[in-house]
Amino acid sequence: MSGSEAGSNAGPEPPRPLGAEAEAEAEAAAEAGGLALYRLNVDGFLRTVSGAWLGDSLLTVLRDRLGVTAVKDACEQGRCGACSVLIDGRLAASCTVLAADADGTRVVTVAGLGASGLARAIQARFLSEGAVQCGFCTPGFVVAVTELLTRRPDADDQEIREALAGNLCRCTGYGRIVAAIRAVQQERGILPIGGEDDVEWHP
Amino acid sequence: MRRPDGPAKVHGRFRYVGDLQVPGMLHARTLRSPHPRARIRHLDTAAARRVPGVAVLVTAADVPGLATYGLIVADQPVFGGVRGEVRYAGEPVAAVAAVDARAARHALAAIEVDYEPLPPVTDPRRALAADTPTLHPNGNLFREIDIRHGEDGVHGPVVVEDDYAIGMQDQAFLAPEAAVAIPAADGGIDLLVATQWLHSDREQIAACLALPEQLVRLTLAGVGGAFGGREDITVQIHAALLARAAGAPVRIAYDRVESFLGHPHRHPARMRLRHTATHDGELVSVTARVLLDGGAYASSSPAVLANAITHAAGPYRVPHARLHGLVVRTNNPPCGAMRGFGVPQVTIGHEAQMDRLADALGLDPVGLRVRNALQPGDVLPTGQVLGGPLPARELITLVAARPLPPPAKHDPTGLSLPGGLPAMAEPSRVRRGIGYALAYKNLLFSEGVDDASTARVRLALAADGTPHAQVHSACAEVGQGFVTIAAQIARTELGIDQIELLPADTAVASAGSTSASRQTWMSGGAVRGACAAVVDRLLARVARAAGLPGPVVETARRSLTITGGQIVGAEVGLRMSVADALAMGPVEAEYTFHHRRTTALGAAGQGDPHVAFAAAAHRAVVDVDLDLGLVRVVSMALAQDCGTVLNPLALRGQVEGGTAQGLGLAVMEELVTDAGRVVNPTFHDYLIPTAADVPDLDFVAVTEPQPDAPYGVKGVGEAPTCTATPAIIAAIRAAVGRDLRRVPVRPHHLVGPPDADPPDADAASGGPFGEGPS
Amino acid sequence: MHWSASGMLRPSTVGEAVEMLSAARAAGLEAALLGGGTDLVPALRAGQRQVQTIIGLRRVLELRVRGAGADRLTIGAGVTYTDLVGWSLSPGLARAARVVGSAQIRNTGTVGGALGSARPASDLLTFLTAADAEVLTVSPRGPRRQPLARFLAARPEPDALVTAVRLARPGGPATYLKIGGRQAAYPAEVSCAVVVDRVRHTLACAVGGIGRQPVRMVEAEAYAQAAVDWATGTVSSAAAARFADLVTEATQALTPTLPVGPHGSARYRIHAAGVLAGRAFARCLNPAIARPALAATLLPAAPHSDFLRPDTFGPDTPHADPATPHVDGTGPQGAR
Repeated sequence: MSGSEAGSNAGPEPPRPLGAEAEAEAEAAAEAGGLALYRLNVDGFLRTVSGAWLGDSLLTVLRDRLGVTAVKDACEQGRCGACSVLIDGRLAASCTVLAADADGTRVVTVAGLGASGLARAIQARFLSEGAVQCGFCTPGFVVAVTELLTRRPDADDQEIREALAGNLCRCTGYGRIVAAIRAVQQERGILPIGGEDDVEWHP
Repeated sequence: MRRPDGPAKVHGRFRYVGDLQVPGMLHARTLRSPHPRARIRHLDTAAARRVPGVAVLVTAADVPGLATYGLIVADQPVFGGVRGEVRYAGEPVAAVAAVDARAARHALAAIEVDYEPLPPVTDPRRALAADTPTLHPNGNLFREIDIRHGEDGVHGPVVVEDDYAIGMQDQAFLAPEAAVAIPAADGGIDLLVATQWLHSDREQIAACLALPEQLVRLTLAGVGGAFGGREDITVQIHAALLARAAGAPVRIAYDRVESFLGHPHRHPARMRLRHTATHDGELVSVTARVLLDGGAYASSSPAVLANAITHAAGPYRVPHARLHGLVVRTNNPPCGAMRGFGVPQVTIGHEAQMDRLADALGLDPVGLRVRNALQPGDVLPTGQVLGGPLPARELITLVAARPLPPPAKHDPTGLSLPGGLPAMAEPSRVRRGIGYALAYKNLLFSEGVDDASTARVRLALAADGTPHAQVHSACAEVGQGFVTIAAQIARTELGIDQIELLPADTAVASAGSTSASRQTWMSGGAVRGACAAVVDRLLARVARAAGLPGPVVETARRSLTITGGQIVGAEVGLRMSVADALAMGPVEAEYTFHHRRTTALGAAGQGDPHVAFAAAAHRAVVDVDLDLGLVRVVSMALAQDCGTVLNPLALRGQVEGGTAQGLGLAVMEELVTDAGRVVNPTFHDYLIPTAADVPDLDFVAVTEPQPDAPYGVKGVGEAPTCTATPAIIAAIRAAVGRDLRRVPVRPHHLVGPPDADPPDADAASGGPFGEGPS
Repeated sequence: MHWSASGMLRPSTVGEAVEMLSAARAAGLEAALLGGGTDLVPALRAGQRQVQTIIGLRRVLELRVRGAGADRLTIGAGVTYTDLVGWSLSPGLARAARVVGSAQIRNTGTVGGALGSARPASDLLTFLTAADAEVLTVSPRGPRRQPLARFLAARPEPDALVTAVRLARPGGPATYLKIGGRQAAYPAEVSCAVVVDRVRHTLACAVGGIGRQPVRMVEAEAYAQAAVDWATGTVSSAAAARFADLVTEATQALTPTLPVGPHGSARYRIHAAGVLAGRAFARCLNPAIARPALAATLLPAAPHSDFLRPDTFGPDTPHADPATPHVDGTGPQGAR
């Protein structure tokens, strides 16, 4: 099994540091036990998965095998976005991706977004604008918003709302989430500062 | 002041109960009845117990204590048992713990249950009929309330009367139910749970386990939303039974389908309302008959009915009223608490009536509301005199004056028009409507219940020598932001920066439920009281240490103050840092906050049942695609009676979230049942609003302090949920000129024959567009 | 080729994939072909599908190809919805792909997956039905090409791999409209695709969400063929109304129909199919309807509303500004 044909039309070839020898050895061990064995590149780390069920989703393997609980499990149908990750740079619901099939791709969760600074800015604005309540949808939103603003830094209100329609939030009504995104755009000079109407007080 | 749990949440490090891992933990799943009503003839678990990886399996036979549980009445079996009856499709029959969730699932499939299906009672209108079987030893009636106010038979000359029906909404919190139960060496059990009310859970779990309460210890684990749906027990008792049977930690978790089946929903309601008024628009009488479908078990149905029926006339002065409500048992899914707790349903009804009364009178809907809005001092239908501020008149006036959104315009993407991009509405076939709704909602528990909250505060020196306070409350943080408020209160009261909120658990006395818009008031009051007591003790200590005379020590707060970490008594010439004062030892206090006493509803539904109220007014603007009946909510404006605002960001989050849930009920959310079975228990079929569905909220806060509440606060989470739905319905009504008596409004109600929304038509049959004979 | 006892097979060519499928079947193993996984993976988790072998197609690069011949477009089974959204060679298809589910689903789901799952209201399949698409499969018996409708109606060949769909290059405008329960990210309750070929003077229309697979509206198509002024590629607004009526009639007569969902009713879906068809038809063929006067967009609330017939499409007065028709496709000269 070589990684050279790893199928995706986005992103460079993921690293494959395991030597052929180690690979063969691990495979032999796994096959002897009749269990799945594969490697996942999660947030830049190569993680070996063994003993998982063939049909396990990437979400299940991330959470239950690899302990990556930042990826949330809320609908198991790809309808809520709580389990959003980037796979080779593309936003995906990890509950709809077969874990074994993600071998050879780069999986990025909220924890692996850090480097660009954009994710940090988004996280800061989610906090300052009140976009976090119960927080269960938040990691998925941070991933989705980071992907959106990477691709479309100047997305307008409608574009933002359409792009995020795959991420459900039950607490906030989305107002503070959109406000956080607008604040990130302002801070980055994409939107003019000000103009956000705030609460009016009638003491 | 920002959320203390915020950073962990945005980085995905916050641990929800489903994220917890305990060494040696087993994974549990629940077997549920597929039948809405059946007798279990035989239950064979032998094959299931032999499934590889299975550790333990429990059924009704394994419940050592009380076989039933419930928030108000313990009428719900822990498991449907042999020779017993299962009463709704989804009722638990057995639970299995295994080495992993898959093995547990396989075991469930191997359990053989021989059901004898019985004809289910699924029409609440038939629940009390003479020929309807009694579904439970407690009978088919959960509660009946008949409020008589003013004189019987006095009515105005202008009459509006109609029927309304509201479908079953689900809380649809995002994190499905889960719990971890760990058997303890002392014979007790420790539970990590996501709940709204730790102590109520404990009481019910202990009773079913036949354990003394002190051996059942609960700690709140991260809660991913609740909205009423975690007030009832779901996974808790099963997890505890399994863990005790296995002698090992057990994690039980629901998936989305099970979550939809596992917790009680918002009550579907049917009501007939009759409003009469004078020719110049003064309400004379309201006659209401409200029927709530409680489903199979009581849950909080009796209290929900009290809320619904006492609010059935709305926030209006009504000289004469007859408000008669029933909540009945059926074989539909159990219903209980959801944000608004009975008030959203009646608000949909009374606000439709107010609009139609305005039409009948030729008056403006805002003007009619202004004219009849309640004011403090008015007598409510229960005889309760409305106390406290209730700026209902101001709210509806304010919201009506908000600027309107620009008209619909040609949009090449179609996104801003009804149906969004893929429906591609024709702007010329889109009609705009504007609607209003006004409501009031009681705060805190009612009817004489003393739902006290206790908090403990300990002020001590941290390792680095700085003052540090620990706040301990059993208040369940479910996302609403109590953790922020509690820290803010402690900081304010204690005058120090280092506040640590201890995990909510049962090691401290009850904080009551995170519901009824009560925690900022009740547990905020408890934290404030405990902080004040700590300050009193600290100041007394300082006064004593300074050798001040006895009377000064006893009333130290009069002469000493804490500012900027310093204890200062200008008149007595004293100055000492808080740190120095604490060097003498930590100070600790516990405080229990009680709200004012209320009374139960007596004869003719009279009494003083509610502690206080908060009001809200929404204005909705909608666009309707006249050809397809699709609705887009263009803008929402809200004016709300908020009391003193402690945290503007948290307030905004509450009112925006409440508005979104009301929007969902207006146009999309309904858990549909067919012969008692939920047909859409997934996020594929039960749609909740997305970012593309909820417009920005134009929000005006009216901040008149509530005199008997700490800092003058009012609960804010529920009132906007009550008004958002009827405002949107009113706007759709204005756009299409139809009565709209069935909520949620479906496209076929708007483009069918004019009478396309009979309230009694079940959604499953699609009304006059239904599949039946036509 | 890589074999593993785990049951996960990852071929790198179509030939290997077909061979693996046959081998699995010969060994008596229940095998599933894995495209993006948006349908299969949740079904596995829910226990709705039980398989012993999964053949993951991610590495079969030949399935990921989108190609254009002189008059045909070929879309590999591994192409995702997102890949199609930006594809200028078939704007109608791009539009259908754009309104599939959420961004997450569009990035993951594939053309092959849509064909394999064959959901009755599939956005992509409804469009492809109107586009007279052909399905290309490869089995041990060799390659095969069959019309989409036949492919969907027949029992799936258990040893065949869908490799691509093929459709004619657009010869005119095309559009895809759908409705469902909210503003975005929803499954179609009813949908309609119209594909116009101004070269061959044909118009095709398919409706999804009523029958068990998308259905072609044959009578309406025949009517359109006669009603369209092919010199200009336009119709009168009365023709749009008639077209919508014909679609309504045809959908009424459909059997078997899908069972009623939690929200809809058959009668509403039939009504909506007519509305969507009339709208799609007008968008492709009648510039005046497609771009109404802006002044008419905000009407006062009506005290009463009549039953809204699908044959009223608002003012069809010609717009003062003869702007380019707002259609979702381009003519042959527009495609490049």
